[in-house]
Amino acid sequence: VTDSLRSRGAGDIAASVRTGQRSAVDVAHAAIDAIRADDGAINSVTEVFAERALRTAERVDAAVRTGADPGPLAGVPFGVKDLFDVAGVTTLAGSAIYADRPPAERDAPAITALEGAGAVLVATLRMDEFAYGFTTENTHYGPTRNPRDLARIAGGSSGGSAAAVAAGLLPLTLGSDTNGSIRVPAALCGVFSLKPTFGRVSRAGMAPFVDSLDTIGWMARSVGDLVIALDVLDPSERSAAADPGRLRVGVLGGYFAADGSGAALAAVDAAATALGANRVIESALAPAARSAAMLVTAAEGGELHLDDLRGRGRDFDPMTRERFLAGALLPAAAYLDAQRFRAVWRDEVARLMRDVDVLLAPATPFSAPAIGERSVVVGDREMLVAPNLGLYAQPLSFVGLPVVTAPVTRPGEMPVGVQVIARPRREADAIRAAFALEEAGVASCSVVAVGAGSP
Amino acid sequence: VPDLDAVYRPGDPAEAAELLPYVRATAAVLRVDLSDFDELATAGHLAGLLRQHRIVESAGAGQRPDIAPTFVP
Repeated sequence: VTDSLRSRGAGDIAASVRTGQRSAVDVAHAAIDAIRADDGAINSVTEVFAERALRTAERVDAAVRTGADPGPLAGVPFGVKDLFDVAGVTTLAGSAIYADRPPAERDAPAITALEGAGAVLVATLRMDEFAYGFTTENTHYGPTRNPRDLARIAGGSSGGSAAAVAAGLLPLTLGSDTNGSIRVPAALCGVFSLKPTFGRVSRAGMAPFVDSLDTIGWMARSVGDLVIALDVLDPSERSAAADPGRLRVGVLGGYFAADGSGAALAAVDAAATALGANRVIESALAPAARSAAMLVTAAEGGELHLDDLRGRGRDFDPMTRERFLAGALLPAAAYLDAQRFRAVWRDEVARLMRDVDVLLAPATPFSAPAIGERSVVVGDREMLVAPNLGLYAQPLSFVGLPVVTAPVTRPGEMPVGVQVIARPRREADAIRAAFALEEAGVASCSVVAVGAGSP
Repeated sequence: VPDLDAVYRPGDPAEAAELLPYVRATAAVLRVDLSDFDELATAGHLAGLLRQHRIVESAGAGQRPDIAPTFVP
């Protein structure tokens, strides 16, 4: 039972539970068993909620037995990044500092919404401390390993969310994206992800990092599963009901085509060919957008943690400690200029997207480096790993654009990702393009074996 | 291409050292005990951020639109 379930997506599982072919309790048991058998190899899970999961699953099965609608995610096990509130559990946000905090009084609304649709919360998932990182090499809790090569990073900061999906431990996970923290790990682990438009899905009950940028996102092994979750998390718009007209597709060039590895750029080329992209779009302002995103992130993150920087500096992860403090010390003029530039970049992006529905860009400049590796060589240039993983992601989230990450897997090599970018609140366009990439075989995600219990 | 890496690394020690007086004074104003931190690394990260600020200033020169009520285009 476990093996056959681990390669199944959320939609498949829900269909089998809704029709009574499989019980939600069996599915929950299988997910819990899979985590217990194999998570030791990848360290994607913070805490498993076996009792709660089985209780929730029993309610789903009871609904099926009585003929009630159990919801579109009936019996689907899911996990959430360690920064979502779970009732009765202390929200760690990847830190040791928050371990002293009282348990959350209630679930984050996103969890309530997913469980309201029949899904079953099984676990919280690893992350960089306070989401300030792209590698999930968390000093307190150990690195999360990439299921496709255990010597490599999973990416971050939602590294546990991506690794758990790639390893088949869970078919659906929530994470958060401030500067690329959904898109980077999705690309490095080879799974699909959706970062919706800033503000579209409530962030309530999620430990903040950067108020101006934080966005909930999620990961799965197919575009269809991303859509089911979107329709549950924002039922105000039905994403699948997008108009069927032909998409106008462009490729981001210039900044977004420089400094990338051959594999990252080739993936975009393959996607562009499959989608019939017929124009390259560039902006000289893109580097400054990334710089401004760094300033806003550092200043807001530093201010958020100022009290703990004052009293508990030594308890921070060395990966974040001095970066948060530098942000707290940043002159206000730098922050205000960055926020002001946001409006300039917003207007520029609106101009860039005037004649296209979807833009394509690499998700990261290179595939997953080894754990502990500080730099990689791309072409003839040595690039630092941690700062550059967000190279292509940051300018886009800086103005809140929705992005689907489509994983491109190459035989014998690590995956890379393509960002499929749409206009604000036009997730449907990115989804349609990603569906097309999936149908064309350009983008795909399969479960990878990581331990004795793997398929 | 601007040196976007700088924000994450200690950077030029001389540049960081120049910022040490600012780091110490501002940390004192904010009541942060610097003995918990690597001063030079903090100054290096700050130097990187200030470099990002110069990039933003240079790109946005002459463009000072009103901040709109929403940040998405």
